[in-house]
Amino acid sequence: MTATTENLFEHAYTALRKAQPQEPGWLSELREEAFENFRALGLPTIKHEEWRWTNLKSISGTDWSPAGPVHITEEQLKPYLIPNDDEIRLVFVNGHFAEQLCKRPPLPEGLIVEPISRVLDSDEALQLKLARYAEQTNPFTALNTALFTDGAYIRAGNGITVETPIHVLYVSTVDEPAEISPRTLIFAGESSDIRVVESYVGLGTAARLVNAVSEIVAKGNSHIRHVKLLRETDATAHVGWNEINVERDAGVTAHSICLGAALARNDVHAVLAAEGAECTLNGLVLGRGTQHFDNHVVVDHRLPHGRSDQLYRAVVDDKSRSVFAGKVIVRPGASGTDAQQQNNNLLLSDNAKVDTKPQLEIYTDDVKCSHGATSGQLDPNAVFFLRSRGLDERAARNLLTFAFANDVIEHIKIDAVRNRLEEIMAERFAGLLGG
Amino acid sequence: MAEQNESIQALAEQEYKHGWTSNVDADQLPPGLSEDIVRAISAKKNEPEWLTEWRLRAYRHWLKMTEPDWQKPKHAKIEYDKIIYYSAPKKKPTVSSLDEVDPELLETFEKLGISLDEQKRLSGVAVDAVFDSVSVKTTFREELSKQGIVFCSFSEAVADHPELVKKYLGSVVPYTDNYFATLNSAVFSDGSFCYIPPGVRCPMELSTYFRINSAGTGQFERTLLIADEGAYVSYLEGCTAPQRDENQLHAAVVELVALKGAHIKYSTVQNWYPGDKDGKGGVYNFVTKRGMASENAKVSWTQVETGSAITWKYPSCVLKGDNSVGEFYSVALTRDCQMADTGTKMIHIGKNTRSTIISKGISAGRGDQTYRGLVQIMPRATGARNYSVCDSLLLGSQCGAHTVPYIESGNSSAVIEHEASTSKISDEQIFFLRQRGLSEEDAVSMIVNGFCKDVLSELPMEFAVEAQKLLGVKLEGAVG
Repeated sequence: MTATTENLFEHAYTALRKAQPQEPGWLSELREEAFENFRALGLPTIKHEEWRWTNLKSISGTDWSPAGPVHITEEQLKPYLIPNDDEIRLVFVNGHFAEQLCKRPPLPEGLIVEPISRVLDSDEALQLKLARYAEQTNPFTALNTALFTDGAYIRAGNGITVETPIHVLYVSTVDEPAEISPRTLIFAGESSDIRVVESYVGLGTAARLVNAVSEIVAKGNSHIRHVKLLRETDATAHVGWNEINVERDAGVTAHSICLGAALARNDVHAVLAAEGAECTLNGLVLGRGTQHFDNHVVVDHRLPHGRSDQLYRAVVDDKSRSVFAGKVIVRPGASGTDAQQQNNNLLLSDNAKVDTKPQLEIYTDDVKCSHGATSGQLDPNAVFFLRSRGLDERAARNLLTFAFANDVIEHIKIDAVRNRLEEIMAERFAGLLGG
Repeated sequence: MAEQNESIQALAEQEYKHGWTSNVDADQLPPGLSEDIVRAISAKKNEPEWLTEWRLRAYRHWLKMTEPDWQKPKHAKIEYDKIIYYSAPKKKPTVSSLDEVDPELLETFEKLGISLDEQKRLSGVAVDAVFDSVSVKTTFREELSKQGIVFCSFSEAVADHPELVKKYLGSVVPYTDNYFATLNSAVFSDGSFCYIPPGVRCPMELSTYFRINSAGTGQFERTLLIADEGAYVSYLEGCTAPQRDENQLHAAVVELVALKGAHIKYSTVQNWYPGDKDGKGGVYNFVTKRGMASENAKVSWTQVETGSAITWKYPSCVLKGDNSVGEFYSVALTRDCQMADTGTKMIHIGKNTRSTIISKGISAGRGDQTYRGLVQIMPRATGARNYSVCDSLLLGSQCGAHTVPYIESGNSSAVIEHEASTSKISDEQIFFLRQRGLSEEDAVSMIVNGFCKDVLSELPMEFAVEAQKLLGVKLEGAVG
């Protein structure tokens, strides 16, 4: 670690504390503790096992200051919206709530969709849940707790089902290097069923650091479908942590779709905290240029009869790089666990690079665990077959690449999101492979 | 001096008392490590100046290194200052007949099907005329030298073939490689050296059974094996019989050099003392093994790891030449409190290089094991191909099995496949075998042998039979 990182983010922290004197005491305490943690931990370097393939030089070299609120128009947002008739939409620009861009039709009873800043005083559940799940031992999580300005708070009461996806947009638009820390808390009460999409969107060309943390809690017998869409700019470093906590017989399906960012690191940490908990964690990386995407996934089976499933795929072109590290932990006593993990990588260029580390860590015998990882190029026989059917080389390759990526997309069980992603991919692959 | 020796003895031996002699050899250096000790070791072995310098460079580098701690098995701190880095080859304690040998040991020999003569030799019974090691050695050497094969102890090689040793020593595992390899480079005691001339197919399996200098090679063994262009050699290390050794830390280095079109097959069966049921004592086996394959060459590792308290090794292949091939077949069995962190590294540098990894891990009791492997495809390794399978079998609810494969692909034409699974023996399988009249123990042993078949079939025939029995013996009492 260089000397400049010693007081990294001190400015941001001081500025933020000055700007928010009205915060309740419990939050100030949380922030103080978290920042202390961050100071002690410092930024990880490639010497840390979990960061060996992702270099944070671009982050540690800048003295980031917090981004201020900026006004943007609905027109600017348009390409990033998910067309849906009765959509529920929350928008944050540079980490500040942008009410004029939101859409909140009358919500079903028991559903709360609010910016965290508005319910800090009134919602006791928030106080009990916020920052209680995500591990503060991760420097970026600690940093987010210390620095977050605002974010979405979504709470579903017991027994309700909301089929309309709740779309949370975190937009960043900056003219000079700045840091943005959005925070999300999704809480599904017993036997509830909700769908949430988080979009991270970048406008403007200046460098920025987006450090996001989402805590996703599924109480007994509930179900959450979650999608994280990364559409940051080529000047953005994105670090994200999704903490997922699944209770008895509940299920969480989470997708991370990485389309844009200069450097992105996504951590998904799922704890199957009770018997019969299930989770499906999928991811897709479409890399080009010099993009660097790093997905780290940990599934922690703590009690018996849990089930987890992972499918991560990456398509890397040009000089882009994809990193995947998945870990399945089966704790002593978590018998009857069924855990699968699959990572497939497609390299389209000789300068692209793929690093993958699928791990199993198993401490009990009555389990069914397996993982697989592959890396390679398109099957020449498949290309040949399509050509023999009259497709030209480029169309054949595009079609196969699309199909490879679509295997992940088709698992998304929110129709509007899936359709939009298929459109985006169709556009992308028309030009991806060049002539 | 005697007091120090006792403490080391206590450290190394702990529970295990068989076969230890407390005779202090006159020809022994004091414990601890310094430049003087390194020089003294070198001087005692009459080594040339360049080798002394090489050892010293390694020692100086070692001082700057810190002991790695990323591995899964944790161990008590090793007190490097208390180790005696040189003692002249000790005489094994001799007894006059097999009746005096520990009956438990004999029983194991019986189960493994080791011949009576062999049993005597292994347990240190004074050898008779029939099994005269000298005569065996002589006929053996004659046959090899007819073909121009050099097979001798490392010290002899330094004296007789300095040009070969100088050229290849450290060419695969440099003295700066890692903490234990560097330590080995500074203080290595002895080991084997083998050179197969161009185009020669070694007529027999070179084996430690016939090793010219097998006594007291000890703790810091160094093996250098060179197969010149188009040569072939199959080398066996270790044996299935229980190896009772007084040293706790084993930091060996094995370097394989396969020149153009050469083929080296290196098989290991390791059955060092694993410590008692509660994990007291036992050998720390921290080994660095690596093979360098030139154009069209092939390096193949096969290992059966059943002993040691902690096994920590990654036999690797550097596939430098185009079309070179690397293979790794491994069976690791841990029980009681044994721990193993083992796997391989396949570094694909040349074009059209291929590698296969088959790893089978069996964990019983409180055993804990980790497969850790790296498949790295360099950008210019066009057409590289890797296939890996790592399966783990868990026996008992207290054991652990972990899989940590690293895959780094930097070439779009490379194809890499990795799969791993973890499961226990199903009750149906056991039930089926039991209703066919097998005891539960035999049933488990049969299933485990089936599980390991892909690896065992890579071993030379006699070895494979013994290894199979060994797994059975090792599993005794671990099931139920």
